[in-house]
Amino acid sequence: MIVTPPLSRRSFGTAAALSALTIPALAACASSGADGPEEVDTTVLKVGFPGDSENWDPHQPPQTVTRAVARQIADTLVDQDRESGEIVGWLAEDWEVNEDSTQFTFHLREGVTFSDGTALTAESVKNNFDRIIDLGPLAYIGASHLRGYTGTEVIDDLTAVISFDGPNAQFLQAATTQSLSILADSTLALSPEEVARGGPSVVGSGAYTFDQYVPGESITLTRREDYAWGSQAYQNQGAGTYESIEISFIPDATTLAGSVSSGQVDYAFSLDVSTLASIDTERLHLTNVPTRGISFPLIPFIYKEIFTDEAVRRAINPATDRAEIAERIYQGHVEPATGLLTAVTPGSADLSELLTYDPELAESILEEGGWTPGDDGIRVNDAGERLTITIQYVGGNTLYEQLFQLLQTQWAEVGIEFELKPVTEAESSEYGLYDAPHDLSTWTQGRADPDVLRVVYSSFYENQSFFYGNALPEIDEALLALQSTTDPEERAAASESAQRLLLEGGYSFPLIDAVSLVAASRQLAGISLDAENKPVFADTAPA
Amino acid sequence: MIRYVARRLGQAAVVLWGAITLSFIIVQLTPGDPARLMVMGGEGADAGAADDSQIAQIRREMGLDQPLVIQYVSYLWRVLTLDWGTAYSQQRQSVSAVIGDNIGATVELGVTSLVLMTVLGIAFALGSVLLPTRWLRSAFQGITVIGIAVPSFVMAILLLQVFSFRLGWFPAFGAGDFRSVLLPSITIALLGAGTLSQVFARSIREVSAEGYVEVAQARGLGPAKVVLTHVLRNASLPVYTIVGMLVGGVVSGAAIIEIIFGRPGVGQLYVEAVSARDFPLIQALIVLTGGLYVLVTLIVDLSYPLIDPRVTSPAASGRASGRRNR
Repeated sequence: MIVTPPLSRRSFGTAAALSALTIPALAACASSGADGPEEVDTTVLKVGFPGDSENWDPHQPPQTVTRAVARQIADTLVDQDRESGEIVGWLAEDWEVNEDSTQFTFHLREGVTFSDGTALTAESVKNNFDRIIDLGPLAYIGASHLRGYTGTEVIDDLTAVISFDGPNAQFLQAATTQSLSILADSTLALSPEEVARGGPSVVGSGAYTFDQYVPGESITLTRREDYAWGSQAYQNQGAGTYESIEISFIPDATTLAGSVSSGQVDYAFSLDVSTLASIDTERLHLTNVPTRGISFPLIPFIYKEIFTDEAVRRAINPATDRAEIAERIYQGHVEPATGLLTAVTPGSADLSELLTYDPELAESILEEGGWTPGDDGIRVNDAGERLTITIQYVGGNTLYEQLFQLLQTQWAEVGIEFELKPVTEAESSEYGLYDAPHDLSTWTQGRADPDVLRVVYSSFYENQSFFYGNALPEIDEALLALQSTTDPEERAAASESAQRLLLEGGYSFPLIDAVSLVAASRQLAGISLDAENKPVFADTAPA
Repeated sequence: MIRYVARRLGQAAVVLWGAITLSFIIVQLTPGDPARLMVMGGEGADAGAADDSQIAQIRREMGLDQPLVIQYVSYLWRVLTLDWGTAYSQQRQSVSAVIGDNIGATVELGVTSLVLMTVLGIAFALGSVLLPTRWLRSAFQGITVIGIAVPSFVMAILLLQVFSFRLGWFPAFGAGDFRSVLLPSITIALLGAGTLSQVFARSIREVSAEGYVEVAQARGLGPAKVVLTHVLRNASLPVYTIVGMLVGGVVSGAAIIEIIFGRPGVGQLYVEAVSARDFPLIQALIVLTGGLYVLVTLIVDLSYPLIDPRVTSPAASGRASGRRNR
């Protein structure tokens, strides 16, 4: 029950990357029994993934499928319990954090080996973290987790002390994520491109080894017979039940759903919401779990003139009917957002009273702000400027088009004009977060820790933080409180007060809690997901 | 004859040069900085994590910092020496290696599709001409219209639903064994077979109306015998032309089909290369598909004279290609 990989998926510019977000599916920890005990074959578990990431280095960019494979082949220092969010032991049996969260001491488990036969030592920990710093932008998620890293001190074979130049409380949860996976020295010695090419040269200490990668087609993982150090969050800490796991890349959403429905794969990871109707739940376990991380928002660019106006920012949340979005756009498969983190994310807070649909409130805020209805119902200010908000997004994604059109209707009711500009992907790569030609953007970023708020809603990280270069000091300060303590209650309190400031100031318009969808044959049991919704195949067994 | 061959070879070279030049121009015409696009070009999570030194390095490696003329000449030279450079979206493997890894599956798909397409196209054409009742003949002709009218992805999904998800006869994804290539091949084949059989059937009817055929009929031969012994050879020339043209369709069709059927291959690679804006890979694929098309057309052109000697005879040389007017 504890596992923690971070899933980070960001999309910028607009809907481009989001499509992945809302619909990516992962499975939940539902595991349930099965029907008749047919003959039990544990040779191969056939799995369908929604595509090939073409980069299989666990430390490098955070595609969901890469992380899902990394989960099986590499272990992390600690893990996270899916239900409680509590940090539990894995490669480290025990750990201490100093008073100001600048030093983390890990006591490694004895007898752990990588699949090339070398032993896990404190030196391995140091070499991995040093490599992530060296990779820099190539491993930007891991590198941002390690920001302020001053080094790893090897006290003895099994004791490593990781130090930072300032408080870094999020590091403990970050150490559960695939971005900070511990790989063998033989892998660290390769170039980043060689590791990214996957296959047997990517060596970890996981329950499965990375046997084969056929680009565009499949990955084969093979069981490690001597595996005996599964995470305390796993149901099964020993070797996996299946001898091998055959992962096929099935990029077409309909084919993926049809393949699991017709039994051509036993397990389909990350289904598309649009295919749910075709899943026969008599024969399949369907796991529909909210992602952990930020709820799916539109975030205003506060450097755009229209959003320098506080009244406009504050009017948008009450003008937005989230229940209607969940019902009409997602057919009720998702829940409306209740805060800036999805409700299942550790450290989330129920702030739904700030997200109530209240068009009269929106109108009165706009009236007070000097925006009065013009001839066609769209408001204008004293200078005669129309209240127009523009979004540019990569066209062709039906879900986003429908979502934006619904928002257009909702906002028009209070006199806000929402202008939609579909662009090509090439056009969308012409601008970044800080020089966008439009006014707001969708975003998705996963992580089972409130620290994801600090990354997205602060001014701290170039290319990851929305207010980079336009710091909101009060909010930065509130978010920094997340870094000073590892105590879950204190961090939850810090998370709530930062979210309150952000919502009251109109700095984000969260819409829904996106979901991950996994379907698996009812012949299987142990459809476990880790804390960030990656499958844990070591737990999977015939029902 | 030699003049005919020389002219065809010359034309092929010009078309190939055009494809190479086009592939060069595409990079130049892309709005923005290609090097920056390549670094930033990943989707979602990758976008934005670029740093300037990476961009500068790619610009240097691709020669984008050189004057245009030099870039063009050195590009032509690299194409002639088959030095395609680095596929940035494929973990910096060489373009040749990446294409080499993918081409086998696409060739398997393409060849199987072409064979099926030709067989089906000929069968439908003969059926729509030779079957004994008008009703049957129309039915065969109707089927070929479906092949032309239904978009490939719709056809693919229909075939998957019936033959893979429901009946379980074929796997829905993957490559390798023969069964996995059949369903995607049939999808592509049905699309081309429609065009092929319509052209062939019309050609059979036209030839059948010629005088020597009437003579054969007057001698009392049955319709099947007349068509098979006197008409087919002369009616088959347009089929060669169409098959040649359909090869291009097979390659472009492979992009959609490979994704729907989860097959590795050049078609899928094309899509990845374009979405990652991996220009060296895109260029190589343009030249490769252009080259294939040129090669097939050349083979078709050069084989005409073997079927119909009039193509290279002085009387025919004044006519454009000898193809259309048989």
